Amino acid sequence: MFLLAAFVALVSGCGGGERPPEESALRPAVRGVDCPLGFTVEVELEAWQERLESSAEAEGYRLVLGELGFEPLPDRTLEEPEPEQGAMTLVSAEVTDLRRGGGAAADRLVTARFRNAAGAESLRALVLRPLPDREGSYCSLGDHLSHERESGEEPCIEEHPGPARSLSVENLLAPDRDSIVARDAGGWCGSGRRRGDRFSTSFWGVELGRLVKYFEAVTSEAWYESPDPPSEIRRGEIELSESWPRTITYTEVVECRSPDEEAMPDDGCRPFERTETHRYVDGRYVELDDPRSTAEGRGRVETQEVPR
Amino acid sequence: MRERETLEKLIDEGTVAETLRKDSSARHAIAALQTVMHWLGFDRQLRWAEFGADGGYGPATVAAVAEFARRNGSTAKGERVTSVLASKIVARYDSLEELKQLAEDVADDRVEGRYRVGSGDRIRVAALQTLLNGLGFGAELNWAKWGADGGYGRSTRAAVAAFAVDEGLGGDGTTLTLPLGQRIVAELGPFYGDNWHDLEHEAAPAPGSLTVKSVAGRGTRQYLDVSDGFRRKRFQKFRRGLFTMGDQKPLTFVQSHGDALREIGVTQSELNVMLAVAENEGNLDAVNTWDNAFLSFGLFQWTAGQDSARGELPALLARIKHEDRDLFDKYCGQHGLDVVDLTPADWMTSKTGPLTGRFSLRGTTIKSPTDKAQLREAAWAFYFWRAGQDSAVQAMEIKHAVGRLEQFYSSDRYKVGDHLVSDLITSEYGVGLILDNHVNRPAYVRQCLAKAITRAGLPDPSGWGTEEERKLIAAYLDIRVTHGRSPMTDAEKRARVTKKYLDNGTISDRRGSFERS
Repeated sequence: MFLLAAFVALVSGCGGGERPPEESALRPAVRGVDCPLGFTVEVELEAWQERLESSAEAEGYRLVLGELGFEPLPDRTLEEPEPEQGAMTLVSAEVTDLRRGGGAAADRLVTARFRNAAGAESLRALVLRPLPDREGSYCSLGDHLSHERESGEEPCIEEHPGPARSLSVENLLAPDRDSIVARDAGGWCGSGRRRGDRFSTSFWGVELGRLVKYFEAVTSEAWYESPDPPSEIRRGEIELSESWPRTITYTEVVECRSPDEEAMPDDGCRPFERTETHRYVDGRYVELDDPRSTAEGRGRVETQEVPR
Repeated sequence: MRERETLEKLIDEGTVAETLRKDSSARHAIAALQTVMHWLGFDRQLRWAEFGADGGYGPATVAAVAEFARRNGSTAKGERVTSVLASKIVARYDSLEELKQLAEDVADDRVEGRYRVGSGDRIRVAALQTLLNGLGFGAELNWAKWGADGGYGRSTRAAVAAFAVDEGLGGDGTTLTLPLGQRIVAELGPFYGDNWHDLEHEAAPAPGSLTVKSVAGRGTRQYLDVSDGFRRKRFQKFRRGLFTMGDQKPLTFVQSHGDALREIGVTQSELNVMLAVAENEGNLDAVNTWDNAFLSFGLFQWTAGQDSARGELPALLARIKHEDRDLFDKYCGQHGLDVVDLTPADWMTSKTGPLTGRFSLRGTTIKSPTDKAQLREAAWAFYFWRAGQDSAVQAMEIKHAVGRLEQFYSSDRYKVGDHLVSDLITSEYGVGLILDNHVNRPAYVRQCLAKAITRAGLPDPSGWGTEEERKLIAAYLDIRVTHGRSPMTDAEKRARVTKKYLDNGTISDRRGSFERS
């Protein structure tokens, strides 16, 4: 068993303010010149990963997660009839390289996925940037990719055996620069009448030393009152252009289902289709209709009513 | 059809004569015989409407068997079934659907386009081949080699031509003409009972078994008509299953069965709360087998649980089983459905009662999604719908719904900060709102109340009066609209429904007005 303890140092800060202690007693709490917007940590990631995998209970997870500044897992034991059903267990812990382009050392995407017997999930995910000339030292660029899905918040229409949030890599800005794609699957499928699906996709990347979300859109959404099927289904398709940085084209379609197909929908659903285009400008994606877009001129946003 | 298999098994075992006879006690086998005879059209002799498949070999069964024997060239009196007669019964049954198909096509004058050389309708051509073989044209069909292969080729043409000659009709056999089709039906029909050919006749199934019939609706709508011989229900198909909205309104039930509900321990105050929330909930006989919850039923659309998780529907059935075993057996036990793995483990003595559990089917626990997919079968939609028609089950649904409060209302495990929910919310109005919230987003009640305490600036409930509770509820209602990743949809609309019952005096928002059983 790997026993080499990872050492997480609170590196003395230079110009960065400490986080208030109430935010997290375990968080690496110092910013440095190399890490002006994040928090500096020193950790041997392989050892950290093994230590997390060898932890078995909430307190163990809390301590190991805290080493990287992760929020502790919520206590779900109170939500379930049997406390053990609510206890979270580690499903996987992974460290993935994210290429930064231009020959820079890769960032590290660190993820830890937890699940309980009732189906609740917690994803802890952050991006660490290696500090130059300091092996084992990283700047934590943000854990905004972390995600929670409570028991019952699963999709209820589409079969989706995958996790609540899956992370993958996409070359959005340049062939040698990785961005992160987060695909979320949620909804509600517990007892009670109001149920549904909500699938969304978001693109993330590191800009000026900070993890930012470039774009987010719903790819499928439908809600209904069980047992009656949904009357409105929203679908979204995301297309990426071939050229760099890639332009994102998002097409949203709303389909209506009537209780009586020969009649108009009775609950205000109106079918439509629209397209919007987003381009990467100055470190972020902006809709081409946005006046902050490039000098090349206003882009094209198509909104089209679709007759029944 | 399992009844046919029962007869075939008796034939194979050589036990027909000793089993299928007058005054035999082999009720299961006799019921199988009666069901098959019913399908063959001998309802009148069986007095089917009166007895169904009752498993008793009495005068009606004797009459039916005797009539079958007479129509099939036997002198048997019907007091027992010989192996030869049983084989004839099975053979007639085996070609019944083919005969019905041809008779339907004859009635619709659709014979000549479908039964001819080169026809691509292999099912119909196979049916014709089966019928011609039954009429003695196996040699022409080269039956031993080809059987009913559905190809209208040289052998089928020869058989049709030979049949035409026998009937004194012309033709080279390339097409089954309408007169030839009529003759086949006329030749074979007399071997069956009076009802077989009545295409409009909706055969009543044997009690204990179901008939399921697909029905096309307008547009792309598809329905399934399911009947147990006593009740028929039309379910709409959707995706992987069925659904019905049901028509048993909880509001109507609570209003008209107050006495019965009080008898099973529901207080008037709890009834008031149920009246206020019922309009937001499902009908007592609503069923859904199409979504990822596999099977949802009743007022709160309790589910079998998504994926491999436990569900709340088994808990409802556990309550019914615990409190009224006969009622449980009537709708579940007799079909092999039971409940297991209930939580909490000590639910029998726990204040909460059963909260979640699993189904078992004929002794096997249903846990995996693959196993749970069985619950999408039409039979379960029907059995649950039937249960939802029963006022005793409806009363249990109301009681179980009220019992949900035990999960969070005064539970030490569901505290909001240092306070029980029952310290904070004590009015009928407030309880109605949080019960509705808990059904739809159970994890959010505590979180929303915690935020509401902060927003209302009311940290200590010990000295609260009605005004303070109203203030808390106002803050809570505002928060729950947007709280959480999947906010309680239509929260405002649902709150308006509950408020309506406050305004009309059904429920009170006076602090302390909620009285529990």
